[in-house]
Amino acid sequence: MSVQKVLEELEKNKGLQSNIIARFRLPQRKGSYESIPDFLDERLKGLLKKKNIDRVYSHQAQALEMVQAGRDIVVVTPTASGKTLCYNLPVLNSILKNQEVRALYLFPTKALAQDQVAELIRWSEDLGGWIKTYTYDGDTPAEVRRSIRMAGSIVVTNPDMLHSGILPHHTKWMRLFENLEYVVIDELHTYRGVFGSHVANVLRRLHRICEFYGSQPRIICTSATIANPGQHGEKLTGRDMVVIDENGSPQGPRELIFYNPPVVNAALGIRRSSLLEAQKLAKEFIKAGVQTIVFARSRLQTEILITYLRRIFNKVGQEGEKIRGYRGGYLPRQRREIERDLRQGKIKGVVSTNALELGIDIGTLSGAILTGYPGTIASTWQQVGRAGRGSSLSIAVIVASSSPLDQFIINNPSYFLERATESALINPDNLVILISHIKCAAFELPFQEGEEFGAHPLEEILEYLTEKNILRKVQDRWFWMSEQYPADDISLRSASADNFVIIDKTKNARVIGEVDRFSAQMLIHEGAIYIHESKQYHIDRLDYDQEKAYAREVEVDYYTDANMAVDLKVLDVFASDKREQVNRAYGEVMVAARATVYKKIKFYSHENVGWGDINLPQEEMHTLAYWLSLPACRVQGKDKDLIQSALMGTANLLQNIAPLELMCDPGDIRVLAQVKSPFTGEPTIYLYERYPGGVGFSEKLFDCHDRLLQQVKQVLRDCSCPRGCPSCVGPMEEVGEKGKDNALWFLQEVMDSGA
Amino acid sequence: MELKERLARIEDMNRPTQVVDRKSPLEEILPGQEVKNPLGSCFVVTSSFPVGYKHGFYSLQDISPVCPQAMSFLTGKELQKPLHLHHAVFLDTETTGLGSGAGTYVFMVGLGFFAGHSFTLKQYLMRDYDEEPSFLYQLLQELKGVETLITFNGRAFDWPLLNTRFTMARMTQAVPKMENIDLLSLARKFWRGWLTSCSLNSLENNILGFKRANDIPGAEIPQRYFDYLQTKDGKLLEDIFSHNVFDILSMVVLLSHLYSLGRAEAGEIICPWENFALGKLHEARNNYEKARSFLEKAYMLAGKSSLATKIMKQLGALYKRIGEWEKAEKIWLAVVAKEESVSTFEELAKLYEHRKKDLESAKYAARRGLSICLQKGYSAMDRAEDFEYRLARLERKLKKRRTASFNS
Ligand SMILES: [Zn+2]
Repeated sequence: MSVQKVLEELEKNKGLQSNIIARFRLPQRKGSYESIPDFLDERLKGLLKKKNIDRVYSHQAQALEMVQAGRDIVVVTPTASGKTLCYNLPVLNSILKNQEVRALYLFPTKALAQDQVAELIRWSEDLGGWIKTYTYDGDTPAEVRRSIRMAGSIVVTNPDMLHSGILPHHTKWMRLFENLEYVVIDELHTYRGVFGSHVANVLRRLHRICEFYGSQPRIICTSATIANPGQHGEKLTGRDMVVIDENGSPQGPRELIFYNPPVVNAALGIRRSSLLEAQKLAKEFIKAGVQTIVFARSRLQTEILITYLRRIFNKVGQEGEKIRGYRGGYLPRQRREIERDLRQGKIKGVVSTNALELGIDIGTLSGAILTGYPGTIASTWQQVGRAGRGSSLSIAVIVASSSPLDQFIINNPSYFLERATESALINPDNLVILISHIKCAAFELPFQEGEEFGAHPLEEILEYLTEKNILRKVQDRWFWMSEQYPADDISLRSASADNFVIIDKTKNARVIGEVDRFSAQMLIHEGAIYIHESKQYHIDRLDYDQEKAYAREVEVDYYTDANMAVDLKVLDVFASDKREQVNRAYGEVMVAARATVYKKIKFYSHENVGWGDINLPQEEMHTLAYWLSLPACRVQGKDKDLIQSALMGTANLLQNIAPLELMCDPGDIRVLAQVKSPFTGEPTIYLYERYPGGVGFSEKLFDCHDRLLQQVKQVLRDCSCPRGCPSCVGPMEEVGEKGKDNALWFLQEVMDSGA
Repeated sequence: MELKERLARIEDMNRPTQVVDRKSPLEEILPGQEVKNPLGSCFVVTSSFPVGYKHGFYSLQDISPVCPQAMSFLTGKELQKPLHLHHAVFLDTETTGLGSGAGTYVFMVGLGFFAGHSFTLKQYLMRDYDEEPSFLYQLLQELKGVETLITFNGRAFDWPLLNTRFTMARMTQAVPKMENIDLLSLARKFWRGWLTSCSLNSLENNILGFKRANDIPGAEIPQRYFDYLQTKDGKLLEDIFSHNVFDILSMVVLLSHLYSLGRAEAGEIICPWENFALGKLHEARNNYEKARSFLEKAYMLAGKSSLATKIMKQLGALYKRIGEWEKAEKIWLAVVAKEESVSTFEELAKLYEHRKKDLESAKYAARRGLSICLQKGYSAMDRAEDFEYRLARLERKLKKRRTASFNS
């Protein structure tokens, strides 16, 4: 009813109406149900009955059946479709039938793990209380750890803890590994890029340990909608996966609105802030009585929104307390409280960061407002899915920012609706990552001749480590021959072992993060703004020799961007394709980079508001790159500056648009434009991966080359600026006054025919 | 590109390979030999010491009158299996690292035991990784029938690590259940706080009167063993064997010393820390009179050191326990004169309220306690509430008393 009121208001209000680019009515979907499978234990059936569950969704039934048949599965689940039952039912069922059965649950973050345990404990209590569920993470007190090892039926942890706390000490976890029947991997789609590549190796290690103890657990994964759930699951777990993606949960009709804030400065490509527009919309929604969640991009934005909305509601006599924030870092108890107040209608509006996107369950509301495009189609659907309660009408609005990617999505709603979402990419055989885990694995159990671990010839790697006196081969086995504790040196969240740590000196000195050596000069040079968990930190000092950066928490309205003097050498071409109008290839490259200066760039407007020098030594990195070049004959007679500008503009666009295919941040890839590349001899744009060894982006870009260029061209054409702006080709200082025309010319050339 | 080349770029850590001109076989360096068993072989060095052998201030035989009661007294709990020296083994391992985890190996185990009129030491060595099963098998043979394992930090380190090795070798079924007496935890009862470190080395220097000659520092042992693996030069292990001998002999005399402390009377000991520890041990076993004499002696010896307050609190608690209220009050007042002690104010408040019925003094003590809690903030909230509750009750009582006296 009230959603209808909001829709009418949007019709009437000219100021809002004119910014709506497109609206869609996503139809109602009927639920598809099946009866509760017979093979479930009577106690579990009884409990379901008590919870008023007399049937299950078809996808849940299918999951239960497949697991019962001994298969490994990936359940692709939209928000609020009852995914936890897909793993909790089989696991509890097995434990009820055999007390000794153990299960290991992996969640990407601690907060999610704690939520899950709270739910499992409620189930267990209803089943008599003897099924013990524990979280095992860095906060688990030493005295509880022992009982978890011995008596935990279900151990809930994160991949980092499995990597450094459990696997290297597997003998202490004998009971768990001997009886391990299930490994549950929730939020599968978050294990991508470098993190996913590490986790795939952690799972390879887990399989080795299970084999040693004679268990072969089934694997149950759940994932948000991604293009390649099966393939991704298989790459991550090393098992054949059954994909269950026919969602059987019901869904009310939903109005999806694409909203583009008006242009305020066409030349600079500046639109009105998406934050302000989101505030405006949220006010209308909440006033009309639509319980609404607003997703902000950062903690800072969250705070601004809360303050603003509270002020408005205090003014009109309603209590500002009806607006609540909800973000990562809240204790489970605080979250329960917010959930309860939402259900009881005490809270009218929630402002959240992405924390909620990661499956933390506060139920659903009637309205969702997304401040900016969340970066991937997958997470956009997750956030949109927060609106939609029961069978009644709900509403979701995507408010675009001025970034090229946002502008592409908002101007091409059909792309968003029709495309199957992105693929999650990992490269578990990235040598840097692989060799780290081979060391960990050798520490955990000696390698035996004939064993396999990853795609590279294992024996060659083991022989190499033997030559380096890290392993010792005796007869047919390789043993760990070092005092080092290899897992300690490896962080799953970054690629190389050689990391810089960032120390927050705001209160007590504590380590807040680390970055690899190559990224250090880009991200944590003195004066840089480093962002961690949506907080901003100013880097006060970088001790390059000690590999430490000292930071202080700040709140500023700009970010920093380092200019790099980059040299790139192609070492190996993995694949190439020569056409009349364009050459494309991908392969291994060596990048030598030195940060020279950095710019301070204002949020939203992308204005340059200051700069500083960076004095750091040159760093080298071996990684993967994709590149495209225009045959030299086609640029004869063209002005060098024109080519330079065209390449730069296109490269900027490519960097921003590539995440459409890659499910990564624009910062995960870097671009380099060379008017005459020493390797190709032609005007060339390189896109190289930021992590040593690469995680597979380059190959994907090579494969979707044509589509990528089309998207880039689309963005350029759609941009309302006359000559080029930061929302398309980049700032004028970089690409000159005719950046847009030049880039269009270049794209015309490379796409001339056949593309 | 070659995989090896690519690896070289990633993994440039290079640990040098040891080169030696002449390899000395183990047998040439050490009086030992190979032992064979169904799982293979390993190396053992056996040595024997007459019980009169002197190691620092003590000789090995000083330990001989150890009786089960004395051990229970020192450990502060009834032992599952009473200590009989002839069914006990002193155990110390040498390992490839200080951390736990499945990749840390035990490559040497020294076992010391009394047999007849001598003390025998058997040191088993795993000469390479493939000897681990036979090495562990041999160890289990030796442990058959052993009732007590005596270690130094073995509870936290050696024994869990050996258990990890047994698990890796799938031998856990054969591991005997033994009582473990860990000398480090006993030593800490006496000397933590006095000595900056309770390491075996520090105890040797400060307590046992023993000085090691040409010892290899523990931290260098793993690398030394790795060098041996590569060169098979027995000379490299000589120091490790003697290091292990020192460790075990020191454990024997440390036990002697602890035992002599356990038998001592209050007048015999001049160290306040040792008197204090003994006082606490006696109190734990409900020997209040003995506890009192040790603690009073400790108090007398402690002077104005930081230890004094600790002793005073302990004494206060003891006086309370045995009903010496005057003495308790006096010593608690002395404590709060030196230190803002919440628990002591609590004791005083209870004493005045319930024993001496001196409500004004009780109120004063409770107020002081409360104000300290409030200064401490959040962490002391529970105790602050207790004081508030007590104060409210005292107020009620005072009021009642006032009314009563007014009426009378
Ligand atoms: Zn533009």
